[in-house]
Amino acid sequence: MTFAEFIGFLFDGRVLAFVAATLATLVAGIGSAKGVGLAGEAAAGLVSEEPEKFAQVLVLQALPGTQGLYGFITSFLILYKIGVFSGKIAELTTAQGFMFIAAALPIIVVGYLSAIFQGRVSVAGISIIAKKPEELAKAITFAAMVETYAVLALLASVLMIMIGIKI
Amino acid sequence: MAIVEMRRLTLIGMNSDKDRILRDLMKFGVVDIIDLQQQDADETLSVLEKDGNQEEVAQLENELARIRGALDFLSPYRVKQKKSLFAPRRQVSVDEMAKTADRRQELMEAADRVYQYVDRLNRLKNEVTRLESDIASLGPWRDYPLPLEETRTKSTVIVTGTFPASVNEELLRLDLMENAAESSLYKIGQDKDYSYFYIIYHRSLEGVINEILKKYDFSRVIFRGMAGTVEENIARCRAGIEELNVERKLVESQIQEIAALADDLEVLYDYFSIETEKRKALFNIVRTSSTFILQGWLPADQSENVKAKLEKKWDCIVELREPRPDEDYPILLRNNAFVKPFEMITRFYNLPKPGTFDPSAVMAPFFCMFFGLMLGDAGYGIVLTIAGAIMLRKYKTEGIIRDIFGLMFYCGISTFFWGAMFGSWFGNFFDILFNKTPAIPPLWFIPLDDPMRMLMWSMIFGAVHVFTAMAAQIYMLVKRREYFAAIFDVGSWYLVLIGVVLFAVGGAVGPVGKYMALTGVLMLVLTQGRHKKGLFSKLFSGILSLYNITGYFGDVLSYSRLLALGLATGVVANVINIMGALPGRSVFGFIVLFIVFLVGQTFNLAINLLGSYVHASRLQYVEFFGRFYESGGKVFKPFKRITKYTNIKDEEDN
Repeated sequence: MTFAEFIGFLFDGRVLAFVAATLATLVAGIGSAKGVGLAGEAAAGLVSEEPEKFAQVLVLQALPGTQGLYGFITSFLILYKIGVFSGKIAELTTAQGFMFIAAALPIIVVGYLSAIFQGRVSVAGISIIAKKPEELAKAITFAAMVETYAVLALLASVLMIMIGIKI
Repeated sequence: MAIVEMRRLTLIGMNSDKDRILRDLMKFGVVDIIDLQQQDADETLSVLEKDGNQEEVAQLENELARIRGALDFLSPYRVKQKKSLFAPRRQVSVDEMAKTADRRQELMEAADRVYQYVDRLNRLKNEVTRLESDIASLGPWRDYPLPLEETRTKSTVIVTGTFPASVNEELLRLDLMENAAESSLYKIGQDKDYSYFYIIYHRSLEGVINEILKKYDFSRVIFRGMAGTVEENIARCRAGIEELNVERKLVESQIQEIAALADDLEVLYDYFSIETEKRKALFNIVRTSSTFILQGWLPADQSENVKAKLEKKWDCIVELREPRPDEDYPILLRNNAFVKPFEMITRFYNLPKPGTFDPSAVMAPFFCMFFGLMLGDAGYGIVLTIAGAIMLRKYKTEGIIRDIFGLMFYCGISTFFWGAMFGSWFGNFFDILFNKTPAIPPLWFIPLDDPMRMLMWSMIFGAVHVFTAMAAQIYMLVKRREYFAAIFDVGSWYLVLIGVVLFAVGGAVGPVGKYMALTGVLMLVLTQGRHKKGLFSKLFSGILSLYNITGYFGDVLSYSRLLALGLATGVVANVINIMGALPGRSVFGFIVLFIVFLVGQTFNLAINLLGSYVHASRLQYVEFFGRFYESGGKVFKPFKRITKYTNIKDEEDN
């Protein structure tokens, strides 16, 4: 394989589409892992004092986990779109490949960052639960405010993949 | 309906009847007692003497804690009836409770005995642990033939101890033979860390031996306080444990005996907690030497009944009056069976302010619909509806748990409906099962195939929601007779928003929309600066108010989450099915499909249940309540019997 062939291979549309699918689950997943991890530490701290609050803080811990799921959905839709599940992967141009990467970017970046920030809001929410367990709904709402942007990012990614890119 | 109307009750009664009147009020359970001892409660009353006895309450609370602790200890010893998580509580009549309360001396003693027994049990357990560790440490010495108390004879010394397992025994023996011939070394055993030895040597060799042993990292083992051979000692420990276990069984059987009283202790606990509540109520009451005054809020529809009952039975004066406009009465919500579970969503936000209205009824259909759109799977809907219905049948006690099942039931129906519309039955499970696409065609359309259409509908649903919020806003303003604000602050936005939409649609309605929007804009520019001074700043504020349009559009765009979360549920459900189908169409394949389906769909349902709840709530709290809802009410907390273990049955004695 010559160097030119190697570069040409890297810019194959299918490779780029797979890179997009990989990054969506990978990066958003790392973000969620961080967010859920942050919240989990705080939750464990509270549960060590008051084990009966387990169910409440578990909900708060789970909230930053959705970004990873959104990343996964994006990956799935990319694979679905290029025909991985129908058994025949479509021929893609380099431009189409880059379009997949562009389409995945919202959920990659926003998913990653919003998961971490949502994790921090969840931590703060857990301290609400520590003092006022009856205010769970408010703690959840604060965390849900952050999630809005992950939802919008997912939406943008999904629309671009499903409608924006013509194969 | 909605917010229950309240009456303020003033009761003046004789101190001699106080206890029994309070008992009656507790039985009615509809009066929220006002704290008259507070400084700002009522000036005319604050001169009176304060009631209540702190010591009595502390004493009762102490007894509650004692019973509670005893019950916790007893719980593993109680005869277990098979009890489901949501089994109804035991019914206890007032008489039975009084009888149990008469036995309080005996029961409290029993409770205290539990503590003693548990203490003894712990000591016995510690003792057993000690003996067991003795046995464990003697284990390697099992083959040591000499009595343990013998550490020297007239001319020899006997030393027991260990070398590291890695010790070079040959070298050691050689060393001993060369430098201390009058000694002999015996090996007893070996495990993975140590070798066990004993050495007998002549007294004169003390120094030399010590030196050699040190060189080989010898550490002495001393059997303090033990006599006889190792075997004998181990046997003695075993016998000791045996004995302790017998005693432990004895103590446990004694605890078991008390455990038979646990049911009575529970009743006594509830009795004491009712008494405590009653004593605590006194802290809200003021008194003179022979009378007392109590005030409280109660629902208007029950007020006359309570007044009649009290006045008939006791020598007392009862007065009722409507709340004054500035008075913050406590908030109790009352709605029909469908809206009832959704009150919980309102309560989680905050209760409405007195004099406003309860948004639960307006909010409930939207919550239900949005939840269904986001979960959007007929299979999940069926699961939720059935689970909710079963639990509702089983769990009759009013309260938050029943509300949750109610939510499950209604939102399940909505989920089923939207799932059928979108053709999602556990994702594409049936497509895969029957190898046919689509096995069950959607009643409407499949969002994944046409996301733009779903996005548009999400926005339309959102717009309806926002318009409803604006209507509620107008309702609030009209109720307060602020007609001008109703027409110009909210009404003009109706014109602008509807106009813009019509204009965007175009065609015949296009020009109509244009003029509607312009009229609305004109109204806003002319009126929104009306609180400012000076013509210029009035106009400027008016123009600036047009910026609010971004708020409306932002809110409507926020409903795009209906599409996003709906897709999220559907896609993951499909992925699970596709994964399950990977092994192919064989018997083995179907078994795998079934297992993957069960585990995966349960997981997906759980995750998206949380997501749908969170986002359906958020849409209510931020986009809907944000426009009109005035919260900040106090919860209506009636003075009633709060019990932990039992439910009290009343005889109709009056």
